[in-house]
Amino acid sequence: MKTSPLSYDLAPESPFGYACHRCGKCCHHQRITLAPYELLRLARGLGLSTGEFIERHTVAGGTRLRFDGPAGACSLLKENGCSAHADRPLACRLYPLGGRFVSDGQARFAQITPHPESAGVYGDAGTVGEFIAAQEIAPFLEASSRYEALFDRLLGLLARYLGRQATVSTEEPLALPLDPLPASSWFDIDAVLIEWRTRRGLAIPETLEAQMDLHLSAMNAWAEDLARLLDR
Amino acid sequence: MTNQPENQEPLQDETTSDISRRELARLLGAATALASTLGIVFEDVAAQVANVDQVKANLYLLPADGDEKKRVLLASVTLSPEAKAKLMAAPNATIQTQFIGVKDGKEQQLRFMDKSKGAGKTSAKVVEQLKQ
Repeated sequence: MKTSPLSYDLAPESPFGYACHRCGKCCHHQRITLAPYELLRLARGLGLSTGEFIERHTVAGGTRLRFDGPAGACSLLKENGCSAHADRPLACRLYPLGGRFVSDGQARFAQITPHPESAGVYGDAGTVGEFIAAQEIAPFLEASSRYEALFDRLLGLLARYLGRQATVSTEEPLALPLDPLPASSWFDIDAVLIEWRTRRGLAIPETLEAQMDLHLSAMNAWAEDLARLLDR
Repeated sequence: MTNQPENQEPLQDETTSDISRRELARLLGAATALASTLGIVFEDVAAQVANVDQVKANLYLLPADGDEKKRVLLASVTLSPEAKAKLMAAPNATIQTQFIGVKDGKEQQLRFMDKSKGAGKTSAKVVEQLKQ
């Protein structure tokens, strides 16, 4: 089981305040994962395709931001601050808090130890909920929920496949590239959309939300194909 | 018609009439990538039970439309420390709920019986920054 080093003991009504002074100290040596919506939003904000964004600013197949700038800085950090601040990922929005959003809708938060030289100023005049509300995280959580549903579906397919394998005797052991796990081609969202639409002779929608809808449609259709095979 | 791109290998393994290994790897890759980037973690029952003082089992009556907000609590049973320990010791066990009718001192299992997965897994999104 994965255990978190953080203590999620803050509720939305807990006293809290934080003023970021954009010193950029916190934007070094971090591990920031990117869900599909975050990846797409960052790429669009910078005027890049997802393929270009993955190539320039991520590691692990587009699933993590790259921290290869001076002194381990995020590749999006420039002299005047974050070059993608308006579209920054959820983890950056929550900072200096970590958020735990359980499936029943309850949220708990934890304080992350700040960089010792951070210029950020803490306070307790407000609440955690007020701080979070100012970060405009709703679209991120909504997108996460939709991709979580897809994840559950994929997990179900894997469980069905593996359950069937357990009952089938095979001389050849299952050889999967588990180490390292394969990067997912699905994360190059633009490539997926182009292929998906090209085969159907349709235009790619303009809005980010519609593009995410299409990406989910493509992945769900693929999952349906796999499910049909397992049904045989 | 399948949803598989034309320039890719077939979904189906020609030799086994099953999902091809390439698609299986793709499935694993997609699931893994989503799990890690959405911050999905799995917490087993044992870990959850260990962090609480008491475990209660609630029995609810759901309305016809299944709306959990309108459910009615029928009974609440507090597990003994021994039962709690058993739960922790068997995180993957199945919990079975039986309805027993008693008449004239004799027990009889009622027709409706439900099995619910006790150990199951709870997913939660965890978003945090961790030092590399």
